[in-house]
This record gives sequence, C-alpha cells and structure tokens, in this order.
Amino acid sequence: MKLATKTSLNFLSISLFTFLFGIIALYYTLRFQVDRFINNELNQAKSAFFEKPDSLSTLGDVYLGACRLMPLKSVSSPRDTLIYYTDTLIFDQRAEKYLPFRQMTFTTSLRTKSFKVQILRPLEETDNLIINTFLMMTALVILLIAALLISNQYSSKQIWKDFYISLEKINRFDLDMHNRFDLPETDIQEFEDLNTVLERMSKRIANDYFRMKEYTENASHEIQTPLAIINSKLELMMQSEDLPEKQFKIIAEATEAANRLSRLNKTLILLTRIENRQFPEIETVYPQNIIARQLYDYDDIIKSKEIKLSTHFEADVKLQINPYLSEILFLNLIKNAIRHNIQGGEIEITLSSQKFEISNNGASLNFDPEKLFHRFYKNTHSDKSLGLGLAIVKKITEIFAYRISYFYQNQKHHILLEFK
Amino acid sequence: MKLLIIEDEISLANSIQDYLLDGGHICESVQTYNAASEKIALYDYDCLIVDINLPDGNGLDIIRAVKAKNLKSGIIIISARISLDNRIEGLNIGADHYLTKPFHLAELNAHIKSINRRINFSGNNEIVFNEIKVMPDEHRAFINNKEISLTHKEFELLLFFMANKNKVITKSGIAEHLWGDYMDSADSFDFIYTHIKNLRHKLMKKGCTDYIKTIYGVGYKFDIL
Repeated sequence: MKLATKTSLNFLSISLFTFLFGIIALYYTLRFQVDRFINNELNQAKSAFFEKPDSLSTLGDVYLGACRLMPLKSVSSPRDTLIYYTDTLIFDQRAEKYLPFRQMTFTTSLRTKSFKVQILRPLEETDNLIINTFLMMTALVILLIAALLISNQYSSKQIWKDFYISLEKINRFDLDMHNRFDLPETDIQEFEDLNTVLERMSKRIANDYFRMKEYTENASHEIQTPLAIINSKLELMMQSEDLPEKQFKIIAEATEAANRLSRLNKTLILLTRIENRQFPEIETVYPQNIIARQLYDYDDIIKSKEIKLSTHFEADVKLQINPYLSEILFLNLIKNAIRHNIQGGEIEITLSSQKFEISNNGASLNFDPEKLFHRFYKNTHSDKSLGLGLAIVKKITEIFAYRISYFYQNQKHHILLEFK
Repeated sequence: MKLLIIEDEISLANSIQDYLLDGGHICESVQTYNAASEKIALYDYDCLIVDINLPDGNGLDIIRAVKAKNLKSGIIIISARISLDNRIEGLNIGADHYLTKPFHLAELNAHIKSINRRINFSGNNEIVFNEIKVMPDEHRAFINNKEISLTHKEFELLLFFMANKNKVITKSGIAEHLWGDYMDSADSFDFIYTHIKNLRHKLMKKGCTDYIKTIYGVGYKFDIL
C-alpha cells in the first residue's frame, strides 16, 4: 500500500468516525434547543390562556400566537396539575396529511369545573429547519472530507514525485555503466537528506569499486613481466640440444601451464578494460568486411573440418562501434562456431542492419544455457578453452546495448545478436 | 645485424640476447633510459628492442630520438601494457612492431628477421634454404624452383619456421603468430596441427625434405640437420 493511500485511509476512517458522532450530537443538540424554544412558546400560550380563559374556553380552535388551543375537555377531577409535553401527529384538513405537533397538556379548574387543556404548536417548520440544517451540515462535512482527500492525494503526488524520480534513478543505477548518479533537487528537507546520503554512499561505493578494478588491472599488468621472463626462460631451455627426454617433458608441461596463464591474464586484462570502458572511440564499422576477413583467416580450418559455410549478408550494413571491440566480438563468435562444430557440420551466418545470427551444429549444452555467457563456463570436453570468449562477447554487447541470446534448435546452436 | 635491447628486467633481456645470438646478431643490452640515450647517441643500430616503461624515462622518447637520427632503424616495442593507445602511438612514431609481454621469443625473432630483410635487402629479397625458396613480399614459395601453391596461413607458417630454423617453437607461439595474440586461442592447437599436416604434405609432394619435426608435447622444429 502506498504511503499516500495509507494516510488517506487513516484520515478517512478517523474523519468518518468523528463525523458520525458529531452529526448525532448535532442532531440531539438541535432537537434539544428547538424543543426548549417550543416549550417556551407553549408556556407563553399558556400564560395567554390564563389571562382570558373564559372567552377562550367556549370556542373551538383558538390560536394563541403560533400555537393553538384545542377545545377544552372537562374531566371529573383534576388528577394532577402536572404539565407534560408530548410530540404527536394530528391530521390536518387543509394539508390533508398528518402533521407533527408538540402538545402541552395540563388540567386546570375553571368555575369549579375541571378541564384538560391541550395547547398545540406545529412542528413542521422547525422540523424542516432541523432536517435542512442537518443535511446542510452533512453535505458540508462530506464536501470538506472529499476536498481534503483530493488535495491530499494531489499534494502527496507532488511531494513524492521527487522521491519516485530518485527511486527510479537508484533502480537504474549500474556501477558498470559509469553514469553519474544525479538525484533531482528537492525542496523537501527529508528527501534532500536522503539524496545527500545516497549520493555520498554511491560515490564511496563507486570509488571503492573503481579502485578495486584499477588494482586488478595494475596487478594483471604487473604479472605480465614475470610471465614474460618465465616464458622466455622455458623457451630458451627448450632449445638445448642435450636435454634428456624426461627433462624435456617437464619443460613442456611447465611451458603449457605458463602459456595458459599468459593467455588467461591477457584475456582478463581485456575483459577488465572493456568493463572499465577503455575503448571509447566509436567509428562506422562494416561488419561484413570484418566477418569476411575472419572467415578467410579460418578458411583452412573450416575446410579441414569439412564445414559447410553459408552466409547471407544484407548490403551496406553499418555499425557505430569501437573497431577493436567489433573485431573481437565477431571473431569470438565465429571461432566459437568453428571450435564447437562437428566434422562435416554447418555454419550459417546471417547479417542484416538489425541482427547478426550465427548457428553451428553440435551436441546440446551439458549446462544451463543461462550460464553460457558467464566467465569460465564451458563444456567439460573442451577444457583447452579458457571459457572467456563468450563472456567477452557479452561484455561488449552490454556496452553497445546490443541484445544477445542463445537457443538450441534442430541440433544447432544459435547465437542471435540484435543491434537495436 | 646490430641490435640493442632496452629492457629494465635483466633476466628478460638476457633471454632475448641468448636467443638472438644464435642468429649471428651482435646484441647489446641496457637497463635504463639514460644508458640507452647514451648508446644511441654514439652508435647506429639496425634494430632496437624497446621496453616503454623504463625506470627513468619513457621508451617512446628513445624511439623518437632514434628515428630523428636514423630513419632506417627497425624498432620493436615490448611492453607489459595491453593498451591500444600505446600501440598506436608507438607505431605512429615509427616503430615496426608492438609485442605485448609475455611474448614468444620465436615471434620476436621472426620480426627481427623481417626487419633485417627490409633494411639489408630493401625488401626485394628471397629467402633461400636448400631446395626451398620463398619470396615473402609476393607470397610465393618454390621447391627446387617449382612453384608450390600454399594457402595464406601455410605460407605464413613456412615463413615463421624458416625465420626460426633449428629452434623448437611452441604450439602457442605458432598460434599467436598465425592469429595474433587474440584471447582464448588454445583451441587453435587443433587448427595448427591441421595446418602443419597440410604444409608438410604439400612440401613433401614436391620432393622437399621433411624438415618439420614434431617435438612431443611442446611444438615443432624446422630441423636443418
């Protein structure tokens, strides 16, 4: 539940509760006040009655101000002299309906006879007044609550706008993207504080992150020189004429490991450099030329593996990309398709301005295809590979916002690269 | 050829020197920028092998100084930094090659040989060895004066072998030479085997001696004995 909804609901429930009690209290207060007023009038009428009881007693309906006196009824004896008030409905001839009246009843003695006196006061107007007041109040309160709710919703939308912008920015923040973490200016103290804290925190994280990356790159570069020494010494040692075979095998294994380490290190440096965005130059590149050249480079291998190669190039495909990275991108994909192909398999390459697709025959993956683009993931039987080729491809596609996907169909691995 | 190695790591400089001395070159080596500046001021070298990161200066400045003095000198940069900028700058100011450490001595040797051809034979040369004759610029090879048809990679391979006669060349050395030091190239080992098999077959069919020996577990050797 959103904070604004939550506060609105709280507000609504409290105000409805208050309103309900308030309106009931209002009704009874009004009623009480009106009744007192009416009783007063009735009492005035009663005083008027006692001023001239004789002239009145003989008549029928007599009007005393707003009240009227009902015909007197003689009673055997005055049971009590108590005055009591009741509300009653009496049929009105003119209006042809029952109308509400307040009635004052008391007994009194006139010329030795006892009479029951009833004075009535019509309530229609005052009742209408109460109802109208009541309705007006209700309408006013409901209107007020609605207005408050709407303004609350609106103002919280305004207030929280900055917050949601910040939230969206935080959500999209990616250290690898190297974009600045700019949060919007806001005039709300709490959000400003939050933004300040977030900015400071992200700066610190980014600093640590990039220092670590820099360290990785420097360390990798530092490793290169000792590796060069090891490799050169082994290569020299290999040239000795009088080396016993046993020793030679040891050197061979050490050389193999040293070469592997060299390749691994160079590849990791490349990967780090791609991640660190150290290839900023963008040029217009013609992928068809690159692909054709690389296929030519591997022509012998393709022939020796008896691979059937088919290419479909759309004319004049151009990409805005770093030229060096574009070479690596296509090379790794092509090499991958050759390496993991079977004897007599097929490679199909399709290039258009929207996509590049390469497919090759081969047994299905023995691991989760999701992990295909992860570092050091590879089929166990091709353990000579470093398992970094596709990780590099993935990194390059991330930089240029290309979409890359893999699927296996008809005994063929497909890798699809979408440029837009 | 007269060579100067400018490299602050003595053991690496020694390795290079040892490897190159076999080829009948005159090799000197220095460890610092200052020593290198002194040497190039006093002597002319056919080829310089320069490390860019020296303790007391930048190798690129040495290259500029050499090029200002003698345009013909061959320059090979050896650097631990895999940086495109360095490479481009180095090649722009006149370096012939840029090798990233760790590199194969055979690769360095092949580059020196090609510089040698450029300097001493003006490039229009033939490499002749017994019955084999290779014309590097025209990409043509002959056995007993009969032309042999080789693919691009086979030709490069033959040239690489002839530049490193009598040396054991590792498989990864060959792979890097044929396909550049692009990453993750271990898979190329199978490819190399294919290439060498084809090359051998073509050479022997034309009556060439089988000079290419397989050295178990390591690589190959173009054995002239």
